[in-house]
Amino acid sequence: MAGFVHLTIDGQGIEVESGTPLIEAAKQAGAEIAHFCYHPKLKPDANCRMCLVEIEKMPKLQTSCSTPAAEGMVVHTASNRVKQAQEGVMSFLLGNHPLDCPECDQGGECQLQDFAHQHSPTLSPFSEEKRVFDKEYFGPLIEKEMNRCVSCLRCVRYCDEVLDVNALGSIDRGTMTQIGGFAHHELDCEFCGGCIQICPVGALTSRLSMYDYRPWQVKKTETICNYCGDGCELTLESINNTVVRTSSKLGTGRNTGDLCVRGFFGYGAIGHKDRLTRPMIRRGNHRLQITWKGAVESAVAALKKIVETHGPGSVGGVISAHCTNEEIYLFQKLLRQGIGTPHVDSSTRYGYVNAITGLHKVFGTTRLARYEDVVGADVLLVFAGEMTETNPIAALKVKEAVRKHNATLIAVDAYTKQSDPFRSHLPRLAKYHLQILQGAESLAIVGLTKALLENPVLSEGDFSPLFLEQVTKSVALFSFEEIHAATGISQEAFSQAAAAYAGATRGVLIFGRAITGSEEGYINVVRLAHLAILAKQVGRPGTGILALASENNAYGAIAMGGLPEYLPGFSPANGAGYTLPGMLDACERGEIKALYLVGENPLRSLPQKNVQAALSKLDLLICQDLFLSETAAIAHVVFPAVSFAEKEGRFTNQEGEVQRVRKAVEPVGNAKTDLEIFSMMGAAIASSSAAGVPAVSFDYANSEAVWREIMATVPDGFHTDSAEAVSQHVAVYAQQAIELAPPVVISKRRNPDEFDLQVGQALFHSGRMSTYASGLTTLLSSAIVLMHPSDSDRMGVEEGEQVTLRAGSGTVCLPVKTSLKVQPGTLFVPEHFSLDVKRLLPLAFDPTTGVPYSTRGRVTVSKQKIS
Amino acid sequence: MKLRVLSSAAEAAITLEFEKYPDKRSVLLHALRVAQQETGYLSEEAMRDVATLLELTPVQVYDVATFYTLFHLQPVGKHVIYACKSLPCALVGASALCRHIQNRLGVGIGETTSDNQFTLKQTECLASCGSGPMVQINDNYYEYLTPAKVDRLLDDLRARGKSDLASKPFKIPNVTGA
Repeated sequence: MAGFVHLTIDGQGIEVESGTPLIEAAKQAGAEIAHFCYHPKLKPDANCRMCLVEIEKMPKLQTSCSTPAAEGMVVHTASNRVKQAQEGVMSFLLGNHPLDCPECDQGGECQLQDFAHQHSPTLSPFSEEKRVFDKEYFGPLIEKEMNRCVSCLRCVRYCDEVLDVNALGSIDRGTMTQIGGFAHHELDCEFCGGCIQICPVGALTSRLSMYDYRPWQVKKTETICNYCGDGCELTLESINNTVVRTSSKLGTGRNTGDLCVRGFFGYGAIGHKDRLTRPMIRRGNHRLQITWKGAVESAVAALKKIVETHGPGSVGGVISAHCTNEEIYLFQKLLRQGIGTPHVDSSTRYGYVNAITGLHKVFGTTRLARYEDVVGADVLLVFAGEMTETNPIAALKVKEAVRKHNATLIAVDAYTKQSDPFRSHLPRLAKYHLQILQGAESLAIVGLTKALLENPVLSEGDFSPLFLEQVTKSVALFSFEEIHAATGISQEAFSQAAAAYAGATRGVLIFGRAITGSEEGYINVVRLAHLAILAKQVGRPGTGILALASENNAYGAIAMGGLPEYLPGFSPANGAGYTLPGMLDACERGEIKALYLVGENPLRSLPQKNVQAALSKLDLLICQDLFLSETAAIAHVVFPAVSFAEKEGRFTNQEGEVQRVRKAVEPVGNAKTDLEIFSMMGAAIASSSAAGVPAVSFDYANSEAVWREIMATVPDGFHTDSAEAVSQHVAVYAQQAIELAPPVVISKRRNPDEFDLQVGQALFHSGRMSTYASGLTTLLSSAIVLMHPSDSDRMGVEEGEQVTLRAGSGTVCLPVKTSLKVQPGTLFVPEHFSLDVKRLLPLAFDPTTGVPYSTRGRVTVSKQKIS
Repeated sequence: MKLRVLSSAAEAAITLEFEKYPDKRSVLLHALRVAQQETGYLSEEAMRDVATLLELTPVQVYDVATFYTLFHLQPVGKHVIYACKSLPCALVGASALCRHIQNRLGVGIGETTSDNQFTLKQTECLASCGSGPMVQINDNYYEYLTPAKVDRLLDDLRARGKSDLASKPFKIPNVTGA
């Protein structure tokens, strides 16, 4: 471990960790050294020469960003020599800078402004003309004003070192050095906004909020992003009740200040003009706007009638995992205690529930790895080739582990190792990339497990004979030849990867929707848990398993009891409740008469199922949403809810980290928070004695009151289990009988025009909400189909040309975008736009968890005939 | 891996170098030279090909290509004139000489004559400071230049493709006098 060194900075003695750059040591001693190119996230570059300091016994001034603190150093940060040098550097910078601060968006939060105030000479020695660059744009979202650039290259280095995207370069080097994309083209990158955030001056700013604010005018609210499960801290900056910009403070939150495109450019949905602003009820074919009182009374009267006639079990409810913990808790309380029905579910049913129930069964907890474990791991086994798109910030942790700390990455996925230009791609960073055929995940896990069981390192382990016997039996069904044929991976490749994983000091396993949201999801989670146990990469500090969530509060939804399996705090429910697909079936049968959907839109998410028919049999359909979704359009009662920016509460991210959500702006129109709506509904139900259940209180002053009740009810709901507790649970688990169905072998494609189709999340979007954000629709506004160039060449299809995807009698026409990362013979279509493409896919349900699988299928592709 | 413009021979010439370096990016200068030799200049397609071969993004290639005056990002004429603009040559009249070349050819810096014979570029020091003003044309140096000499050498090059005004290959002086 690093030791400590003692040095003197500006006369003050200080002790710092050895290796600390002087600029950081000085900060600890209370001296801020002016700098531009230095940034704590980046390797020192020492190109701006601003951070010079005088070190005794060294003849020349040294750059404090690149000089590590050493024992006995005597450093002066503000001597006359230093001052003179810094004034010189500042003169050069200001000699070219346009000094257009009054109209610059960075004005007020600009490092050049701040340091110039402190360090510039009174008179400039320059009388030459300033350099002037031709006006260029970095595309529709990023403003590029090169006259302001100080050439610190922070943006270029961030794009490389942190993002692994390399979309920026310092081009035309010399007196006219500028930051640019390839051949001065507009950027076509991940648009994470990192270059804007890291730019010390106003050279790169957001076009989405140009001239909308001065930094000191905005109200800053620190909250948590509402897109994926990464749980990034986000600062919403608002003026006059409108969010004008988002940012994230360096070093804060689980994201340590990094954001992705959705976090940085995706705030447009908050104040979108199509937001619902008033409650509505349906009268015949019309929707009527109505007061809250009227809407709630009408909903409760109808509910009361249904419960009286058909019993409380005739009511079901589904809530979105985008809601807060408090809201989900209250929702399940409303249904379970207020109405008395066991039928509660959440959108985690689309896959994440597989991860939690599977891991919980084996380990007794699901909080098995944190981002610190990912960054600190020496071996990472990742079953999520699409992680840079689905969970961009968690993927940054993987990149950091691999690029900064030389971790070994084992990637198992159905992508190629190649990435598209200006996109990061985990398989590219992998030392071992097991490129499997689509749908072969289960056999790949079996292959790895089988390889591990044959590996001598296993003999060192202390496993229960029953566990070993059962796992061995479960993988004995297939020979390596058969697994090779089905996955495309040889025994040798499995052996190498398994040995690397089991040989890790700190191994972390990560999996995403390719496991949880695809066929055999639940059982694959259990298989992976077994693999981690065999490799001894769980139950020790630094090891563990991280399940990626696509919704911001997926973990919280389950911890709060928003599903039929668990009550709040993971305590088992009686098992009588229906899952979401089960509820739809019960609607169809006429068993469920009333359905309460909060942020849920099954008409869209399950287009293959006859949801329309099921919902049309309902006596009461309540929809609570931000927008008039397809399902809300046919609802009897519509409650307008508010976005994450308009409410208080807590989200729990995929690590199990509970984080505060804070209100930045007032609700639009008459919309109310889900919490207020549930309280109103609960109070109305409780006051109507005829509901036939004992009155339960729904009287809460605010979300804090609900949280206090949660903490009192489920004190253990959020504790982190120790490594020992996990090991103990595994020991008990290993003594039990394990029933695992054999893995399914996917049939081979037969014809060259037959393709494997995967529908999934694109980087620029998250569910449906993001399609309301103008910043994101600028980047991707309609469906496309990604195809490998070898396939498009073979078929004679040009980029952007339409092709027809056919499965059975269904067809969909989409424009082609070539991509090197999809395997030849496979296609990828983003799920956010067209419902039609999902209709081409078969729908199957998990036998254990009921998760609907509808993201993969097989289609034939033909060049569209020009009619 | 499909290349856009580079031939398989160029690909081989580039990939052959990989084993000499710790990573593929180190082969970049060599690869750009091979690409330019084959296609005459570094088109966007050629730079994308180099990026593909070296597993870089196109801008990482462009970044380097724009730094060196010896790399051409536009098609060039048969004879590429690199006129030195550094201080020693400037002190002995390089600026006026460069203007003379421009007038004589009817092109600006970085431009190519309409008959595709000459491209004029300005460059930093070519290490011939004792013999300025000087230019390099393709692989030859022309030193101690005057407007009259420039006229003659341009006529020679246009007429015959070569000029005897070119400096002879440089030999290291024999300092021992032996």
